[in-house]
Amino acid sequence: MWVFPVLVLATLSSWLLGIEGSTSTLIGCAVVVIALIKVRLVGLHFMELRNAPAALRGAFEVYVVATGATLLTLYLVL
Amino acid sequence: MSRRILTVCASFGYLFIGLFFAALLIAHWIPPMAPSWSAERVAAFYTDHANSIRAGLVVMLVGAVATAPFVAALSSLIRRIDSRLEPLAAIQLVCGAANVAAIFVPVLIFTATAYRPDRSPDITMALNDTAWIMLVMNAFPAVGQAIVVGVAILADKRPTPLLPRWAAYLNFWMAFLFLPSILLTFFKTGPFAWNGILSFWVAAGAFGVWFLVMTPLMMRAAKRVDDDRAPAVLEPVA
Amino acid sequence: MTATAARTEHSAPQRHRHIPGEPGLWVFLLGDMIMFSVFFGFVAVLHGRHPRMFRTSQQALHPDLGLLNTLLLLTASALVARGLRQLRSGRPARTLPWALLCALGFAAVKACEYALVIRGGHTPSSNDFFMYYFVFTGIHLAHLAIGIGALTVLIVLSRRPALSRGQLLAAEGAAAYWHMVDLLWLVLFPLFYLVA
Repeated sequence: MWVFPVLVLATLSSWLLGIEGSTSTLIGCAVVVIALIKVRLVGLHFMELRNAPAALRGAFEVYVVATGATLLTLYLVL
Repeated sequence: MSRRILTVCASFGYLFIGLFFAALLIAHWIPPMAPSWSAERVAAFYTDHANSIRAGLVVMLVGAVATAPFVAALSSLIRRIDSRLEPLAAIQLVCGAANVAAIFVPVLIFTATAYRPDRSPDITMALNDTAWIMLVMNAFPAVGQAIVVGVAILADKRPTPLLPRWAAYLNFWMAFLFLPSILLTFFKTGPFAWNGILSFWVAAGAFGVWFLVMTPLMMRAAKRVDDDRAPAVLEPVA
Repeated sequence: MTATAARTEHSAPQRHRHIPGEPGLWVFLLGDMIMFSVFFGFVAVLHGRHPRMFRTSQQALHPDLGLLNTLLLLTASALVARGLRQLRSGRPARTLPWALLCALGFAAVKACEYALVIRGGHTPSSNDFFMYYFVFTGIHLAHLAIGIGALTVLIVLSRRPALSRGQLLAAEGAAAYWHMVDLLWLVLFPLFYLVA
């Protein structure tokens, strides 16, 4: 199962990015994007939504994209 | 006969939502006043809108009573899911009754506030605070009600349950959405204040959605219950 | 239907579309997730409006404890996913109690962190950052508490020799709920601890 190691690596990398304390918007956005990729992995593989009917999987994908887009917009605009 | 009574009682859900939100609009409460307003601003608001506030409150008072038949129909349906669910039907009825009071009491305090808007602003503000807190922080009976309704729906073991199972999960979600308003006691600004996104807008929206979803589901369920007839007139012996 | 019969239903996941748990549960799960997205939005808005206050307040948190908690939840989720697969195929699901241990570990670490932050002189009334921090992570912790209940249900079900179709759906639902607890923390953690 490759998902768990990937999730751990993603967590460690965003942690390393974050504790630098960098105030760069780019790093902030990278951390958000990594978080949502992790969310998608958990949803598709652990929650098994990749095998779910299109409507349910689609609703989840829309959720991930909408949440990510909203957060990125807020970080970039404000 | 019981089918028709149940259907009519359930349909009061629509009447309630119509009256409740109409009242909020008539009384200029959408958007709601902010808890951060000064006493003078609160008093001026009541002076400027005295009669529309009074009229809105009367509409809301009528609306509060309209929840009674709806709640009674819901308890009746819970009992028909399974007669052993009687205690759940009773809890639902108690919480529903508490909800009537939870609307009634603050509306009467608002009425008292709007009764003499020219009094000392500090007193108007104190009354206004009391009424708003009672109107928004009254979520707990509704939380209990939503959870009990959800549990009752899930307890339906028939192949086609009287109320659909997704409605149970919707009730649990609603219970969660009603909860943040209990935090309003700590805040005068922000999402948890009584005019905040989480305390007011999300909770009020969830409240509306709950009635708008449950009412048609209950009316449909009413069609399926045994139509036990009223005591029949004795047939004349031929 | 027993687990043996259920196995045939699940053994071909690539070809067979399957809703985990009962369909209605997803009304709650997706609804809850949307509500949390609103919470995330509040944190992002606060960060945008008061970047300096956000950054100085953030330094009172303990990112190492946050990291530990993230790893605990990810481990628990992987163990639950594995346990559910074993449960379906009728094998003993020995990983599930370890997942429960991770969940309890998360709660313990969170309690320590709350204590450290409060001892550092920061309470929900200090400023908006700590208000959001305590309220949103507190609501998440309440979800975790329910998740501990869900994991307990899973463990109890895994002790049965065979599962009915309803019990299998309950097990899948409990697992899906648990993964949601994990998933929500995956966003809360970086927003509060990492984005400076």
